[in-house]
Amino acid sequence: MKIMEEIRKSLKEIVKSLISEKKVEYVLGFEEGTLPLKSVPFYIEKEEDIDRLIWNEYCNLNLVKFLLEEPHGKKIGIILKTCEIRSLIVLINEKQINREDIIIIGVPCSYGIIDFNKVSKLLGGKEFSEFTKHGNDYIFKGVDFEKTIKLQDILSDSCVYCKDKKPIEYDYLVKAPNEFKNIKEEDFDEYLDVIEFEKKTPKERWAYFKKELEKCTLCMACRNACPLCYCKTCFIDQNQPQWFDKTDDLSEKMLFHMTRAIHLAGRCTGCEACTRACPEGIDIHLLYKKLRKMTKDRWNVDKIGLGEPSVMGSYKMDDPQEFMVKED
Amino acid sequence: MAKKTKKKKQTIETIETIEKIIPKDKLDSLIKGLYKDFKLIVPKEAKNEIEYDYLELDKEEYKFPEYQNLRVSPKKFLFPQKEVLYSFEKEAKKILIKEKEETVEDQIIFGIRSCDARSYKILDTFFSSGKYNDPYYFSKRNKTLLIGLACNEPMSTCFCTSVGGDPFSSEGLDAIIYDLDDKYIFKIISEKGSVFEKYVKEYPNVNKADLKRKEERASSARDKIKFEINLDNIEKDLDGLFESDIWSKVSQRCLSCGACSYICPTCHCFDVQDKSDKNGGKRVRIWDNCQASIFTLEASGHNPRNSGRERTRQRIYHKFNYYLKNYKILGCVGCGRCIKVCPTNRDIRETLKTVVDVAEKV
Repeated sequence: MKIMEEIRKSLKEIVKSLISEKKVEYVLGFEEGTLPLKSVPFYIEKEEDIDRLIWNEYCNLNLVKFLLEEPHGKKIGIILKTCEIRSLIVLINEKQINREDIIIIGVPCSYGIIDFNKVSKLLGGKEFSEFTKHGNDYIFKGVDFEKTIKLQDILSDSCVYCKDKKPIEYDYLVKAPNEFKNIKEEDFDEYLDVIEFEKKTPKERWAYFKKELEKCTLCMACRNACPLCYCKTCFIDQNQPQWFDKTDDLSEKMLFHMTRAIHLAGRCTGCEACTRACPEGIDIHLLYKKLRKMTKDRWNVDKIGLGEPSVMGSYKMDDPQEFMVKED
Repeated sequence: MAKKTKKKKQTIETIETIEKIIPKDKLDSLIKGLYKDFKLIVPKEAKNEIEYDYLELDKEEYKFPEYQNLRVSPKKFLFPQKEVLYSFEKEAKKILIKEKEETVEDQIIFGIRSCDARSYKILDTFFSSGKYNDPYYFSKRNKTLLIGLACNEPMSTCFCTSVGGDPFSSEGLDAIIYDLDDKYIFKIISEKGSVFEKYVKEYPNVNKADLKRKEERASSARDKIKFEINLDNIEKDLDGLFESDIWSKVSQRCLSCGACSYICPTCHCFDVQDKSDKNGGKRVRIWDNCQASIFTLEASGHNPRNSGRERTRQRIYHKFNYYLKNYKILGCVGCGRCIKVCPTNRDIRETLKTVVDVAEKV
């Protein structure tokens, strides 16, 4: 992975210049975590810290989330991939963040991000103490096993079906030596997984979501990892009136996830930070992706640009209205 | 020694000496034997991992699996995420309250690790503190026996030895099993555990060579725990750091989700809610977690723990300061689950290191 190392080198130079010229108060990136294949958000304030900066396939969070807490007017640098830049754009469009406060360092995305939950599942929940890479093969070693897993099988689903490699809005662009391609060699439809899922019967689809959501403990890691979930008081946390009775009944879990999905319709950019944050390894990305596909099919918008109106927040005379209840 | 006490002493001594050798291939039949008389909670192969679940031998084949520790502790079997306390119904103009009817059978949690066994001691302390014993917890706890499995292969996140535990500790257990690769040692620990005597009677007694091997195992297990911190002064250290800046730094990367609390075998904060419709409902106790923004939100709208800074601090203080003040024990067993589960890889060991380092400098 020589390319990734070159990207890291250019990133370090950009971050160094931003900090030494005092253009920002800090730059948000990633550093190594305390466990293999884990990273942690890294607030780079001093030049001497820059060496700890990493950039790789396990920088799993959407750092845009961490900008929400910061006051307007504070200059911050942030290292982002395309889907994350798109989520920042949603926040700028929704007047949550000022574009001029943020220095975006855009990085073309390689194959995407590893979902640690997928690794755990494939290892049967066993702990691995180290891993090595041979091309796209990852070899995991634990106390009593060694297992080779293909990158394609542990990438986030969104990344497997992603064609959105080039940053779209940035102040600095890191040049990738070669143009990155998707891990799939042949061409594919970005919504292929949704299209396949749509072929199932409603009963099968219900059974799938039921099975996944039964695992939910309502810890809110998905909501809290999502940069677009920024309500000051989430409906889940409201107790006057109380929308949600806080028990872990399936109906309550459904209520939470369905409401969150609808709140994200036309906004979710498919970064999948939510799925990777889930401690139970619940896969509900299809729910969000389906809503993305619906906005694409209906309004031909599944990726929003800076300054463009939001799908749900705008109205055009020729909007499709087939979902409206009509009087006969 | 007076004659009266002698008899009692003797029984305790006999309990202490029940230490049997179970051949490797006989463990499953031992489990089957126990299953006849007890409900069993055992580590089971599930789809993606091994998890604690009720054994149902009439429906499944069972083989005791190999594992380091399980991702999810068996906390929920005694302290479930949702527990009905009582129900109520509208009848004419009256409200009828129905007590919870729960029949708890004698049960065993089998194969529990030392850290998780100690976590029940912490829960016992909490649920019996104050004037009353919590009936919902103890109705199950008093019927539960714990058979532990000493930890030959602690995980990379384990730090039980820093919080007063040990991978081979039998604290809180009724019996413990030591895995010597080609055989097991089954040792009865508590007086309650003496009920297991009849299930292991047929097996030979342990010999000195096996006990020596066990000791070697124990010390090799201890050596595998790479993290070590001296927490002797942690209560005092934290006393001086309530207003410290470290909490802003520590909480900076926290998403304020409840993953760490819910996975923690000792976290026990709960909330009580009514789940009702127009005809009646249930009063339920549910897990709460101190990282949620709504935790300790007061009716006035004021929240003493309004930001991540206070909430992160609360979690550390509760385990490493308030617990020592209130019950003279630590509230953490060093299982390391919170480290593994955290979406931002916030590592409680790092936080403790920071606390100790900063306190030493002050």
